[in-house]
Amino acid sequence: MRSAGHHSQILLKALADPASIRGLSLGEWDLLLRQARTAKVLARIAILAADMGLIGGFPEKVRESLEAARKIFAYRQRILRWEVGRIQAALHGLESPILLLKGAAYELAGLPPARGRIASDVDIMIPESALPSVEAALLRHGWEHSLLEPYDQRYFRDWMHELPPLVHRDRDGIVDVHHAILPRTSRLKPDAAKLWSSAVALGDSGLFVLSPADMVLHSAAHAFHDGEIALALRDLVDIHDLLLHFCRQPDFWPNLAPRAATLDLSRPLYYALRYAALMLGTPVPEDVAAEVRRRAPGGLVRAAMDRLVPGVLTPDHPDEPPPGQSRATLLLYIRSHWLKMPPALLTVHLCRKALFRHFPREGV
Amino acid sequence: MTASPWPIWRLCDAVTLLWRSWGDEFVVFNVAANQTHLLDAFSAAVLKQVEASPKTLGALTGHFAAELGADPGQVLPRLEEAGARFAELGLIERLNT
Amino acid sequence: MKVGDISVSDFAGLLASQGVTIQTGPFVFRLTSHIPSIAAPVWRLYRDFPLIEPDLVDFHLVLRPAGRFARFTGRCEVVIDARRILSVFKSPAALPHLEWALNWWIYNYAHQFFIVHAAVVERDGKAILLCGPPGSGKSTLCAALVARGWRLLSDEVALVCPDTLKIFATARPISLKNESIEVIERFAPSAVFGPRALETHKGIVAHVAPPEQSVRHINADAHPCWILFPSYAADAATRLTPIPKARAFLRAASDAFNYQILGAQGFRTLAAMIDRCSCFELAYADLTEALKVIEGLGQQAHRA
Repeated sequence: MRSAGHHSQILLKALADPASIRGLSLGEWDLLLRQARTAKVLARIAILAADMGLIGGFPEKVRESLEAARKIFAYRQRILRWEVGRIQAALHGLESPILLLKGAAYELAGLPPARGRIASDVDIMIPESALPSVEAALLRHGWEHSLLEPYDQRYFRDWMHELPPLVHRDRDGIVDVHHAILPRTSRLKPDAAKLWSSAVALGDSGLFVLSPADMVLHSAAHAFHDGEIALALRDLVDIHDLLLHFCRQPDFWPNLAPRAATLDLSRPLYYALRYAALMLGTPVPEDVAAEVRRRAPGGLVRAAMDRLVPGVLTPDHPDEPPPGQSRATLLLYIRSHWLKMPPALLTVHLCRKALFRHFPREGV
Repeated sequence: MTASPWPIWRLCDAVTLLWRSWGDEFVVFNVAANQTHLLDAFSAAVLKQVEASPKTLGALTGHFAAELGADPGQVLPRLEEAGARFAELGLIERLNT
Repeated sequence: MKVGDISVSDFAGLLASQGVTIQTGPFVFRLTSHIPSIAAPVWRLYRDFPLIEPDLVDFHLVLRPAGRFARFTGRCEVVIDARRILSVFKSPAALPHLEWALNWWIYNYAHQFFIVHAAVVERDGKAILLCGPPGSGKSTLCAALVARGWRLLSDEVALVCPDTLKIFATARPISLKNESIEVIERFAPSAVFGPRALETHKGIVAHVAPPEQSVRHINADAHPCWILFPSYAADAATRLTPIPKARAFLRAASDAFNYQILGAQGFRTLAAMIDRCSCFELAYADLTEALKVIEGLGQQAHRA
């Protein structure tokens, strides 16, 4: 494990215990603001500080940074809510239910991870059979395909679990339409039908979100087996917030590990609970932790992950990133892709992506 | 034989509008959508009518025909054009009763 | 203490080690540079600005060679918090990239202000905003007005306080491109220029040092009175055309970096500005003529 200098703990402590920012020195604020901005969690800290009525007591430059972050968040929040409304309007009249995922779900369901979270795209899940009609309806209402190369279209449709991203021609809003939560080619195969049968309706809006356990498991799967980019601290914060919120429901903890087993997501759950507890102090009941440990990986993998994950998630000193950081990131990226695609396909895809970094395409 | 009733136009839920005008041109800001629109006097007046309370297309036609001293047959197409644009922008809903 | 109060070699030494902290109006940044050629020009262009040692700055900026083979490629980068911003460049383009980086930070984070992409000058508390895309001639007009004694607030960013509508100044060096450089050299022979950067993605770039008075009076009052949309075209007749305010609103909104982010506050701030400003298009080819027209506006207000 990386030795944790004081600088690396300031942000983690602020995330785990928001009230702790009351006592920071100016030098510590300098570090916190910079690291939080880099980790994309500054808005979250700002919102929680505002909720606690703390901002007025901070030095002027701290207030300015926090207020700027709040304004950016409020803007993205407006955009997100509006986009969901426009998607609902476009899909009105189709038989298909719409299930919101990730940021859109947290925001519309009023869940704690939404506080200060900057979501970019709107992720929705629909039954696979409804894909053609949903795609047609969105295209009719002004969304367009953003990735036009046949290779990219196939990547999303055949290998992933979603339509290629659709962008609205007037607004730049992006919607990702999924029919499952992990790619077709992943080793892990959570059954979408099971997700639907436990889904929770949001009032009478016609929108659904995943059940509490499924939301946690999806977030864990996204963080530890999915995702185009390396694992981010933001993902762990989402898991932490969800667990702290849902653990107040009496049947949440007892059902979590069995549900993970049903959905074939026990390994991601193991990692999620382990690293949330380790890095953010998320309280996990011992009996749940013990049950989840039964699905832990073997010693070598566990040791490797214990080195890599905190290495990637612990904030660096903003002036001096340590060497080896990018290697850890790359390893996680490869691992994430290995679980997404059979190995033969993997090599083709990674080479192509590396190539395009040097020769950027128009319009992407 | 009964005539089909007029559609009702109402402001979409979640829409809050901020207005400014200079001369006979109006800018309106849809806070929820973060979008700004430039409107001529007629379009602005239509939107303000619907913003104040839901109106049937018939009532709007009658109101503007009287205001402008024009024939309802001339006013109706202009109303429908404005209504279509506002609906596309997510500002109003046009409900068939 | 000001930048110019220490020797250029001491300044260079600090830049390359613990960095220097400079205050430019509302913003305080710590600058470190491992590109030696930039020290003297920055010292000269920023000599009137306060050099301070605060406990908290707005941001930390590092200029340095980029990549393992930088010694051979000569590539450099600007870094904030260990992340590169903007694109890599060769060291002769370091000064423009420093200026672009300082503006980049403002556009992305300075949301305590309503920020319009405009040059701003002031006289008698009344400010002119020159709004427009690159190539419209706003920087050239800005430099010319400043040479004629108008106070420089910025060549690029109008920082408007949403509550009071006061415009805050950074008074930083004016960035000129290509032909504008010679135009201003002829128009204002006493203007102090930094070095020319010959190969940037915007062409040749050079900077005019802000007048000492503009820096000294950096906090002076300035409220928007005129919004001009200049457009330079060779052989154009000088013409000032009033614009209907609703249209000026929309044009200014599309020229405002954070109009979208500020939402309702952005709308209200811009509306209040448009309320109190006279808005014009200014077509011109001849700088002297254009200045006559602009100064005419200023005198009208003085008489009114």
